[in-house]
Amino acid sequence: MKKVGIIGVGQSNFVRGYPGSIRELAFEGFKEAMGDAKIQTQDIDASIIASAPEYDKQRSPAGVVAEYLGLIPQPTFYIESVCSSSSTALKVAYSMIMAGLHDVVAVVGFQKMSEISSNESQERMGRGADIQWESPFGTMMPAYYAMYAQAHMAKYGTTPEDLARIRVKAASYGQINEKAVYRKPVTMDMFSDPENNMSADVARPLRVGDCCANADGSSCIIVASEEKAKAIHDKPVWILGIGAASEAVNMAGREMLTGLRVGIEAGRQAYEMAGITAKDIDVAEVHDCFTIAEMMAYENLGFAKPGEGKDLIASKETYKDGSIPVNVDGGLLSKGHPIGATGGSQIRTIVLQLREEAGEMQVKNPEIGLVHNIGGVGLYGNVTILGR
Amino acid sequence: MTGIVSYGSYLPANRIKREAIFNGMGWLHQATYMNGDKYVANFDEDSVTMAVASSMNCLEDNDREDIEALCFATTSSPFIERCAAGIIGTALDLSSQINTFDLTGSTRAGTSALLSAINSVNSGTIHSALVCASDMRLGKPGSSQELQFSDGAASLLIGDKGVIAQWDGFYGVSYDFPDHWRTENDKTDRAWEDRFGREEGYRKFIYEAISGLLSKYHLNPKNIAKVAFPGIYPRDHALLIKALGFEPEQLQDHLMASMGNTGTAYPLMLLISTLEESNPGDRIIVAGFGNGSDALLFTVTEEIKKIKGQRKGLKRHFSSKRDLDRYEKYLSFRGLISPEGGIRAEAIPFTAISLTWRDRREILGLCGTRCKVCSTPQYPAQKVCVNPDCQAIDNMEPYRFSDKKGKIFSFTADLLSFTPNPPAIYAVIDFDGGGRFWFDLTDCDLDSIKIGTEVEMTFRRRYRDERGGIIGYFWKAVPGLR
Repeated sequence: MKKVGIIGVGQSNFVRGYPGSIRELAFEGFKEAMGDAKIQTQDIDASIIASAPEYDKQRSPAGVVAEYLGLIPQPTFYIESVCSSSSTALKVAYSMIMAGLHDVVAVVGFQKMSEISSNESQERMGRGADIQWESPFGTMMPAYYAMYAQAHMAKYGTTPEDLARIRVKAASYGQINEKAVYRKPVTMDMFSDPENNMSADVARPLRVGDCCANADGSSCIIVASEEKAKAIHDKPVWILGIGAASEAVNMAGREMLTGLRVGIEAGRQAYEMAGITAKDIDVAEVHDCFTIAEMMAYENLGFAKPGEGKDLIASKETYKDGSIPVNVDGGLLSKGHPIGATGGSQIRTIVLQLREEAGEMQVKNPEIGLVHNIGGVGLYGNVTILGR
Repeated sequence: MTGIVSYGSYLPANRIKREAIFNGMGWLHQATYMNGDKYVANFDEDSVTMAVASSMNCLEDNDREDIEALCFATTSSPFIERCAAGIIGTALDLSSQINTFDLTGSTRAGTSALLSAINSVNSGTIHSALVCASDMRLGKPGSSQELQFSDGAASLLIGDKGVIAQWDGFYGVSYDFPDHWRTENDKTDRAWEDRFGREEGYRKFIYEAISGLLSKYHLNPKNIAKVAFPGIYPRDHALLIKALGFEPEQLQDHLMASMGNTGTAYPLMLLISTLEESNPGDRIIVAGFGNGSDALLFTVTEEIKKIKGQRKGLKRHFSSKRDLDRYEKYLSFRGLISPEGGIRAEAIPFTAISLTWRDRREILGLCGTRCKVCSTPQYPAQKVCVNPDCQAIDNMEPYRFSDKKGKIFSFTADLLSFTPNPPAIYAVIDFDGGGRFWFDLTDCDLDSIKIGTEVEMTFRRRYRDERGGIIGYFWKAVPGLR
């Protein structure tokens, strides 16, 4: 079977309030990826623009973004699966190339979250849920994940301290990631200090420190057919497995609240396609919008058995020098989570790792990396396995 | 035989010590001081939701399909135009082939509604009617009304079969007596002097009604086991008893100290508390007061023994109550002060009237479906069975969840979203017998709940869209079984 290779990766700085429009923001990630691929806009056959709609009030962003990036008159498509939009877009780009429709496709993810107020943002986030039977009854993202945390704690005895350890790890890498929005250290003491904001309740049992940083940002992944990839880049990174799954929208329609079924299912597909198991993964990026999400990802991807994720983090196995380094770029927790751009940023991190260009964050000699990107609260799941 | 078939009542979980109110506003009118407690509806309750609660209590173990009329008595309906009884009927999942009406304008509406239902059944036009009376009246801060008024509801099922208290007669007087009133522009009552209401109204009208009832049916006070009427002027209550020729032991406690004046529901709650302590053969008089007085006569039957073992009535509401610690909280719940909610409070509620109408049985009635093939209950209503081993198509029957109990599957307390009574606690609930959905939790403390905690359902206001004057009703879960 032919392969699809990644020939360019880029992301903007993830920042609290980006001083520009969505097209300018999208350009930041695109520019870096183009510099990486060393190609011209006319070399790109098609673009896929990915974001969660309505944050910027732009109804159909693909057009305005593609035009600004100089990607007209080539076709452009808009893909959204909330927080996993750019991973889903990558799967579509992969399919288009495998189908022989296009040879070089740019996947541009972006999100400008700072344009609207907290109440509007909360409302839009909530509307990612079922607007008839779920969001009218009032919920926001931390609360959904808090229900998972509550159930995980009740079943496995996971503690708030176990979750805090994940945040401490993320912050240790966020500090050295120049593109991260949150670059300060976080210590366990902060979680036990009632005076410290990190310990403030957001949605029991999740605290401020358990939640990712909101950010504006963009990312870009340029993918190409095997032939083109080899011709364009001297170190293409190959897509070995690409899984995607979906789940009941309403949490009440789900069998378990101790793990994400989409993570398990998308992981199973990706492992099978790549012909490998969790043991073969050298470095991973998982969707840690909340600490509990990373904990469940360990277990859902097979890095730990169900209920044993806490032991994995307690023994620091997911640190850079551990047996399975996870989110060594700071993760969503510290790097920030501009939802439409997040998946592309995760892909970028793994590509840099596999090319051994990750600088201070570099894991030793990784051959196979994994990206786990979740949309909604376990509504959509994407797992992508990359190899050099 | 026409009479009362079942009864139910409701007092909010929150009560406030009158002393706490007096501590807040007593400096203004020191003479208003009153002992005891006042029951305070939560921020998500109103007269409609309380009427649903008392009716749920009343209808436990009774068939709802047979009910042919629903009368709602209140002076504090959230709507001037929109039949509140219609909301209550939908919430109770009653048939739509019934007659519903609201009776209002006076606190006497409670006993008038009762009489109206009795007359309809007694005439043979219908066989079963539900009467509910509920009030959530406001007194101005610092007023004696604020201390006296209490929130609560009572429901009585009237029928011609299985009667626990047979109706024997009525006598009433009606006067355009302006001791207090509320115009279309008023949120609270305006009142004339207390002395006027007491001496010219209360003492005279109740005397006329009860003595008129006795003479109309050739009875003397000795024939009566218990007499019950509102004690809004406690001293005059005692004087009236004496004047009417009753002995103190024939008097039903007026509950003014322990409960307060619950408006239209008040006389019906007194009737229920009388029935709770009565024996077969007892003759009971209950009188309502407001722009006149209604007096009704009942005789308790042998059937009373059956209802006494059930979870119905008023008494159970006096135990396990939560003290509302702050008077300011009460003021805030009632909109008497409007605290800063923050920008998150400005989130625009989601309302599509077409949707709430279309799915009224699901939203207001909490009815889902049950698969006729595999019997799996499901909410919201489904066309294709959710059971992966079944997946039968279009083979569902309606299934009511509002009267099912459940357990908490998982929950959280949300400190970010705005709620008038933070934190917002919500949970995914597993219903006994099957079915899972999520609900707000109300009337509870975060520390008292955990995964597995038992809950029951309660009809509440889910949100209020001030711009459109829209009240979104839905069901919430209350931890702990009452």
